Amino acid sequence: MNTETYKLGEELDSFNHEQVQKEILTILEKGCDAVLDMTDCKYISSTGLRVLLYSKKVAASKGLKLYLKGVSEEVKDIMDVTGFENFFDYA
Amino acid sequence: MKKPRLLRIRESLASRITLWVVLYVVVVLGISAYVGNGLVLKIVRTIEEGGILYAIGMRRMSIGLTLLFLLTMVVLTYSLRRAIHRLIAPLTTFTQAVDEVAKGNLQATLPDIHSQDEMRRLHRSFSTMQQSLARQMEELKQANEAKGRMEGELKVARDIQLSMLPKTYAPTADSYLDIYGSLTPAREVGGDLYDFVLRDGKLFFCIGDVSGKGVPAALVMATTLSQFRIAASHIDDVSKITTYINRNTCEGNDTCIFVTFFTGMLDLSSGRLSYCNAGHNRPFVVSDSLSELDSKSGLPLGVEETAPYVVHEYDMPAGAMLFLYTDGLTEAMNGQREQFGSQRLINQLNSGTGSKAQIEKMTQAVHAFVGDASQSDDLTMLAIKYKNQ
Repeated sequence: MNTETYKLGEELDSFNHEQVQKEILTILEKGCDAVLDMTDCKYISSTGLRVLLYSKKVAASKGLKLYLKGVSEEVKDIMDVTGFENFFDYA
Repeated sequence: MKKPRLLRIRESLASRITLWVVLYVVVVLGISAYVGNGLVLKIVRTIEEGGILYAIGMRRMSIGLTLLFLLTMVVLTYSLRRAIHRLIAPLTTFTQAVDEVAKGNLQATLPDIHSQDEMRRLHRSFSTMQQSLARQMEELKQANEAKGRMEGELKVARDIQLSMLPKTYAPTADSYLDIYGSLTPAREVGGDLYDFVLRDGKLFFCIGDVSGKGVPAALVMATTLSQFRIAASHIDDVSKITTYINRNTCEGNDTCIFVTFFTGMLDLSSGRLSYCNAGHNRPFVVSDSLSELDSKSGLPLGVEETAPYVVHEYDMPAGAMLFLYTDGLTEAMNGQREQFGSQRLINQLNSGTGSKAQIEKMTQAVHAFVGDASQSDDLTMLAIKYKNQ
């Protein structure tokens, strides 16, 4: 199965969530697994988490996968607090 | 008042033509007079020389020519002025109509233009502009009305939402509890919630944060709140309460909205606290020491229908205060995009204060920190002080 990577900026929040959502959906539309490179990402808001959640659901409905990659300590903490740490697949 | 430019041009054009014609006539008359004068001298000489008849003929011809020339000039000037006037006259009436439109009368009638020149094109363009302006004004009016209606509805929605929250902070006549909450939406309505219910000597409470802001979040907030009330009215186990709300939130959740939710049950006679965390910020326990309520968090509500929620327990020391909040507190941003953060929060926590005083103190600290920056997220706090008489 093909995979395609999208690299996130420093934040994933209400300012850029629409753009990121669109990019991930574009990858999934092509029938590729999406890898979200979060190496530079230091902050993710609840709106950002919703983007990941929605993307994972869309991927699953197409028989595809969403992988997170290079998750920083800061984002890991947020995932931990919000109970999402074991929810996503990691590349 | 200063005359319009085109009118001024017209007048100056006409007067310039008149000036040139007058100048021309004066010069021609001068030359004629000079020549005529020469002729008079010549006549004198000619009389002396006996050629009188020829000279008089020459003089008559010269006067006739001059008169004819003058007449031509007068006719020419007159017709030129008439032509220019006829060309520009529609512009004058047109300008008046345009002035009317400029004053806001978009229905002003434009004068009829019969010529097929630039005036007609200008007329057509202006008429199109007038119609499109009128249409846009009408659309703007409707949009403004809709906006006004929406703002009115949102204001009512805000009142309804805030009235859903507990209003009385003395749930029992006895003084086991000192409880106070505050919720400030970032917009008219928001997605934060808190609630508490007293039943059978137990206090059931919750705090939650719906992802996103505004109306969509507010709708989910309202359903979550009412589900909590239903569940807390007959279920004692906090994990079962959480599971119940989670299942309902998951149902048909196509938009993937989720709710971070913390719920607890405090047995007022023993001080035993059992709690369940669905992805929410850990509350603080403020007593002689300060600590976060330890909990392994489950997934937020609305993410996974079968998500497990584990119950944790903690014995509240007498006089301890439980401080619950949403991330609108720690993530409140100032003008430099710095966040309020946990440390500033901790600095404000004090076991000596009552619940209301504690929340007011925290609110002041956040306002001082944020300054003039606009509130970025809903801000909610709930303080529960257990007194154990």
